Amino acid sequence: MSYAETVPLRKIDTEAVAEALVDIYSRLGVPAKHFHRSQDVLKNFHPRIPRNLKIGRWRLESDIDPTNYTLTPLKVAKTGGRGPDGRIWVHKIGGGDKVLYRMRDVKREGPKEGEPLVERVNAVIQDETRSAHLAVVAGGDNKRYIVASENMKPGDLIRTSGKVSAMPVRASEGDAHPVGSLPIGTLVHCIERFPGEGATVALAAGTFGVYLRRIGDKCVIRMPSKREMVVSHECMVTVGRVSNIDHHKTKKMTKAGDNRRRGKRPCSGWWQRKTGYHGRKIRPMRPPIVYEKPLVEKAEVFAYTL
Amino acid sequence: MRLTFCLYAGMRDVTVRNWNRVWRNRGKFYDYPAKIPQPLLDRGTEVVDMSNQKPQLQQWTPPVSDDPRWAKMIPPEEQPDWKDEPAFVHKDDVRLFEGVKQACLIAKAQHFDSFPPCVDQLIGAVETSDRDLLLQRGIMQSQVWNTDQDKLPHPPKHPRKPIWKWKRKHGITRLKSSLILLRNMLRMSHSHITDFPSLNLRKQIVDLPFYSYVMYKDKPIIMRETLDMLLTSDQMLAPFGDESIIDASVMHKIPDMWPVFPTVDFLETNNYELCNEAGFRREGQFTSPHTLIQVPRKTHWETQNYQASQVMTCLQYTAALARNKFGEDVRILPEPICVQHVMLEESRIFFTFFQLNTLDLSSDTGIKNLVWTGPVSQLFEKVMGQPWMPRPLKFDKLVNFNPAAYENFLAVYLSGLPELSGKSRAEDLS
Repeated sequence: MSYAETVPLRKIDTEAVAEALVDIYSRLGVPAKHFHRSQDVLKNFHPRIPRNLKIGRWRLESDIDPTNYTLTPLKVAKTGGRGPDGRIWVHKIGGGDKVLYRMRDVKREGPKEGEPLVERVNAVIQDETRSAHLAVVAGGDNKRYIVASENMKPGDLIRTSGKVSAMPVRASEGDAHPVGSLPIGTLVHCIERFPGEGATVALAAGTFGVYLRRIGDKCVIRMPSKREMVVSHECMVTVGRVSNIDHHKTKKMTKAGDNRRRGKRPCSGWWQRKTGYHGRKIRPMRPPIVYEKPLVEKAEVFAYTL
Repeated sequence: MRLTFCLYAGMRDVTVRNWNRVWRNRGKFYDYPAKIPQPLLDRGTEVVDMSNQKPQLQQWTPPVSDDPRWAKMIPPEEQPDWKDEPAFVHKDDVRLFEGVKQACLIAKAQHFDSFPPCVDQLIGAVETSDRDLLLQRGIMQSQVWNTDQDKLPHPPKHPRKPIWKWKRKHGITRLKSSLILLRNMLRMSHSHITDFPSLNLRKQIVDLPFYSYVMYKDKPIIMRETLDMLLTSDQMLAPFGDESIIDASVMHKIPDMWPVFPTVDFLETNNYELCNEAGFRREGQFTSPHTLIQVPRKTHWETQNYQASQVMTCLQYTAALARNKFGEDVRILPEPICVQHVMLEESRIFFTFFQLNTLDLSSDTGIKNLVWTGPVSQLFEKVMGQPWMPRPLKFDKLVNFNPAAYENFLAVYLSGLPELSGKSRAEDLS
């Protein structure tokens, strides 16, 4: 019986042990445990991605470049609630009809001086991947999808101005202006948090914010959640209310198959009848959110879901 | 969270298989620096990082140096037709959103929503024996009798059954049936050669390539296309509109589409040539174009989109003819150039007639080109079957046979015949 791995040690000091180890490793290879040296490094073998990322219902096909803007509706694949590791991250997602994704432009950039940018609404269409309707607008040599406002119809002319005027402008529905140049009490949607960032608030069907007051260079807007936000007076907003205001009535399921067609799986768990203790609590209104940090260039982030 | 390219690629492909593929190709461990025992360093042992060691492979070269199978793609900037100034591109799949109005703005054309007078008087003037029988045979051959078994696309969603799972169908594709019906109608029209011997001069050229351009607002709009068919004759068509109409077009104001530019629907390219290739290398006896015939590849457009595509094709083709005939710098044409365009989309026939008077498309003043678009001629209707219904409604049906649509086609085919034009002149005089 021979022990190929054994190496005789004449004396047990560091140098001799190291020589023996090199001899063994050169013949048999470095074992993983020693190669990574510690238990912490062994995690590299199972790379984890933070699970606080949201998993959408759909994802773009891998052969589509999302940086090239197009009006063509794009095919999307279903995630089934699975994360990049193939495991379920979000339950209650799966199945549903095939849908097409349209690239929505949330930036309304107008000239700072001179005449505003004028665009014509060519069509107002329904989109399957979002609750609000989309408007196909064209101006000059550009065409794009934007969020349609409540009464928008084909043939309408909409204006976009980036000029912050001292006197409030008389804006009509669908026009985009800096919030600082609008009269107090205007209903707005597609609200930017930081100038030039793109609209992130009040994009869903039927939602709107209210321009409440102005404090210096800051404007206070009440969000659809009733909470107030304080943004720069240069943030672009669109006048009016988002289209499809009856969405909250029509979206309700009439049968179980409705939800399955929308890609929602049935909930599982113990359902308990709610008692009086589960009612709405009266809490004080939370303080306004102040968006005042300077807009820094964001790190490169790749959105992989819709 | 900042996502690296590797991570991003993996996240876009959610499935484990793709993740593994990306990890295998681009994945990388973060390897801590090696802890080398000090005695080894003291002895001067050479330390080799095995993770960066790659096998040195011999570069493979193809056995034949210019074998196209291993040819590398030339980037667009290095191709010989690269230009710094981009140009608009028009193809048969470009849909002009505003239709004929938009096409007329580009073509600087005055639009008439009817057949031109010289063609209108030919509609129903010539009788075809066994017309209905021959037409129905042609329709049946294009829709039923042909033995093609190609894979057909699913029909669009039915409003009553939006989630119906359609079974895969095999049969005659829309393009093929259009081509079969077109061939039959052309044969029927050509059968009048006994009455009109001049039809002997009609020639059919299939898959004719042409490459042309027009300058719109000092920017070229190029078109490189293959016509499905070109009917030629021994002489060019006589002008559809006489001099009085041309003179009256000076006062015509083309409707504007502010704030949108008419070129909004075109794509741009830097790889192009400004060519005047109308499909013929030299002029011959039968190289005078008579009718352009196309079968659209897009089947979901509206009528105005098809007609706009026809106008643009006519403009590009006649522009190439005009520059070949009158020189590269021609602005106002000494004599107009006229062509007809027929588009057959399964059962519908679109007719457009174009008269090129000027190539000065930059200004809005001066004489205009002339465009006539005839009404859409529906030869028959195809009713899609509903598999969830009982038998009479279960299968596809061909209904509403309308032979009058063929009369329009025949009039276009016979347009420009000396026998008929002489007759019409005599009638006019009388």
